[in-house]
Amino acid sequence: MFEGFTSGRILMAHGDGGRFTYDLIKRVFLPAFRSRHLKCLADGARLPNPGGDLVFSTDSFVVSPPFFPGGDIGKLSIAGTINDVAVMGAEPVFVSASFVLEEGFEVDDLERIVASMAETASTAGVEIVTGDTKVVEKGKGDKIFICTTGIGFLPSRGEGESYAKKHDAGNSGKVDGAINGRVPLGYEFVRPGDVIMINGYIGDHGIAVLSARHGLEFETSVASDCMPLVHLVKAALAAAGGVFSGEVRFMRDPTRGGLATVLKELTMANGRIDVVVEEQNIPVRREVRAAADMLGLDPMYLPNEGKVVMVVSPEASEAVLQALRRTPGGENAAVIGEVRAGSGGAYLKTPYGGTKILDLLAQAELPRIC
Amino acid sequence: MANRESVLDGFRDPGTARALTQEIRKMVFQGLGRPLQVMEVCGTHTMSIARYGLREALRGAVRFVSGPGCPVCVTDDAALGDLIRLARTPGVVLATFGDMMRVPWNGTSLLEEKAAGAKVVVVYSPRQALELAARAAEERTARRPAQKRPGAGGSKSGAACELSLEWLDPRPVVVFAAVGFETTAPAVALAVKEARAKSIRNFLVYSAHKRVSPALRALLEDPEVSVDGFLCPGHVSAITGSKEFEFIATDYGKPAAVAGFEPVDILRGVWLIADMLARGRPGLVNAYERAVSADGNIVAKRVIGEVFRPCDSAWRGLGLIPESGLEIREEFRDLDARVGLGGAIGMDGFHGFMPLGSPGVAGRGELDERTMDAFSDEVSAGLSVSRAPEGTAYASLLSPRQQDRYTVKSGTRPPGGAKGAREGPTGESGGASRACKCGEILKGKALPPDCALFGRACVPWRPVGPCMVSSEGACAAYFKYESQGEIGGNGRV
Repeated sequence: MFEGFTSGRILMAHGDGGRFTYDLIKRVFLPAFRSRHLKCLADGARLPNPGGDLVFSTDSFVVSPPFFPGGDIGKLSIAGTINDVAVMGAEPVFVSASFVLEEGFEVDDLERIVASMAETASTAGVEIVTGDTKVVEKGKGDKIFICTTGIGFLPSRGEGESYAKKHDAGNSGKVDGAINGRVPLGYEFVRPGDVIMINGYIGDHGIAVLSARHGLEFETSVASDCMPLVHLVKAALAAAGGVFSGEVRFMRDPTRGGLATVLKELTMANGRIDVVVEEQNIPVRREVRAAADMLGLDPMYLPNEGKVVMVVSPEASEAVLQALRRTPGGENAAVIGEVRAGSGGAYLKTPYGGTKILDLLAQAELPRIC
Repeated sequence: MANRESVLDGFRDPGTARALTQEIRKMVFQGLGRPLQVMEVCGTHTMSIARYGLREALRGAVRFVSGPGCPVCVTDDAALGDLIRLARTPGVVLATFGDMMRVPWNGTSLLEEKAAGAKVVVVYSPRQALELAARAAEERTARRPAQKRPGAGGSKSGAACELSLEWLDPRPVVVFAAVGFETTAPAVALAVKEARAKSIRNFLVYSAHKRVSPALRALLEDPEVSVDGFLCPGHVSAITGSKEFEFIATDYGKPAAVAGFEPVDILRGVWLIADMLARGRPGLVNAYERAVSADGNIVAKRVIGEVFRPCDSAWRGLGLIPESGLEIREEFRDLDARVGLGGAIGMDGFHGFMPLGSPGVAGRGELDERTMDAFSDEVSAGLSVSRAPEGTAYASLLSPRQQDRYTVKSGTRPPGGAKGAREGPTGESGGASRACKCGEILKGKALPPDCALFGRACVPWRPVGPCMVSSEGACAAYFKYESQGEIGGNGRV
């Protein structure tokens, strides 16, 4: 309980920027986040800049309910933004956190969420350096919304190195002659013959959140896979000879829209490849498949919060796969398909002799899932 | 439970599926000599076939034709209009299954109405809607003493937050949109009974329920429907019993199989149809023995009969089909949204009709004996059916013999002949463009790519007809899963 209010709940006054806000920050946010940048309570954090390119990402989190098996909105808000930075090949270092709280939200719940954020950040080696808090009237929000941004730094290689000449295998259309110091990671580097892999089971997060939704409440042991991917990405890149080797062509975390959406977006962006995956090779837990069947959902489109899809050169694929399997979070890593020459199609081969087209979702199958 | 899981695995076993596929191909090519046309009636079958890629696996040997088994797809404009108007009514919360949210009607949909402020909530069961009503009633009673009068003390105090209209709302009436076939009807009936037992007065049901077999019968009367055999709905059969569909073989000489939804289930059903055809012995086979019996779920059927009575009902694309709907009985009229709120929203007061000309009073008629069989003995004695009023035209696909039989005053045919039945009652187009081929597709006379709008003006994110909207709709399934062009020119196998 805090001085000055007895209900243990967030009041409109906590968003006024006055004494109550100051109190809330000092008693809830600062002790949990423990960053020297935060302590001075300046308007912004002044951060050291090692030079080179930045990766800058932002995300808002409106997941309902805020607590679900395997995680909570806090853990999600940190891991989600960190992961977006990590799959770009950068090391995430700094994160900001903005809160929009609904009047009446329990401070105990806020403390749990904030502690979860601190723990996730610490696991990933990331500092929460700045933030904001607003409060809206009861009924005008939904308990808690969090917006985080993350900054990471890309290593720089030096001038004048020509990656295109060294690594080009006929897919040079979008690659300039010399990429000065640029990390060769992106959809344009994916080429026919490349191997597609994922670090584990898909659909866990979607089902875990749904199982906690009021009105659904089915029993399941499925927990969200929410976790920072920093160590997995590091291990994979190291096994491939470093990010500048170009052996890892592309990485993305399949959140909203799921694995199918990532695959389709990849081929659409590249335009000169097709992606073919085999249903039998895609890891899906029995319970997830059963729950998805019951609800009429497709695991290929369910969101994941601890998964990364990687496209790797055939030469490096075995080493990367083994490295993933040795890293926590990657024990069930599997090769799921391959890249072929094509025109932007994504296909799933069923074990029954059929091939399905994977397309973008026409409508949100699951609102408020992350 | 390890045992149950391994049973399901068996029904998903790729090896078994492959063997069945090969057997079917052999039978078709050696026997029939042309592709087998199988109507799969149930929306869930449509989705399963697409999901497992069975259409492609059987390409050249079997052509699947989609039947009227998607309840959302066959809900007609009049019912949709009622639901939209209900959603717009102040004080009403419309509870509906998710599939109904995006069905287009006159340039809007329940989803759009919700965004514009109508109170629409998606539920997974009628019980959820009932619980919502019960909770709303409790909360309002609990809140009342504590309510402060807004505005007391003057507004100068800077606490200028908006008045929440919810403080002023009357107790909301929750209306459950009961769309579905016999599978869903028992749960709705139970909810109605529970509401009565617990005196929950702010819960109403708008019944747009339909029965599958009358629609199949009407289809089979249409000479243009050239289907070799029928894959009958598994979940509906679990309630009605497999003998509900025996008429397909006994009255029309076509083989039929009740099948489940796993790949091996479906392939087995198709195999059985091909086999019956090859031997010239059409019959009804129950190939979903683990869930379906000949008589079905007697308890469920009794519960349906306690709350509902059969009525004539209008199906999108097919017209008015006799005894094909379920309306709420008089005993439960206080829970019937058509009765309670019909006046408020301008409903015509009929139960499931598209009346033409000046509406008369709906008559009562004798029940067809097959419909009697569908309801359990305790309730079918003395059961009568609501008939369309004098002059109402039945579905154009009914034969003249059937039309004569079912019209209340015999000898009256609507001007313009049978075609008159296709037009809507008040001239509302309901948003369905003339080019929309949902009706033909439901009858199995066309495939989605045959429709000029498919993939162009009509796409899942901007649907024209319901077949594209529902996740079980033939067009949505086709669009989502099929390889466009791989099936070979115009979608023909």
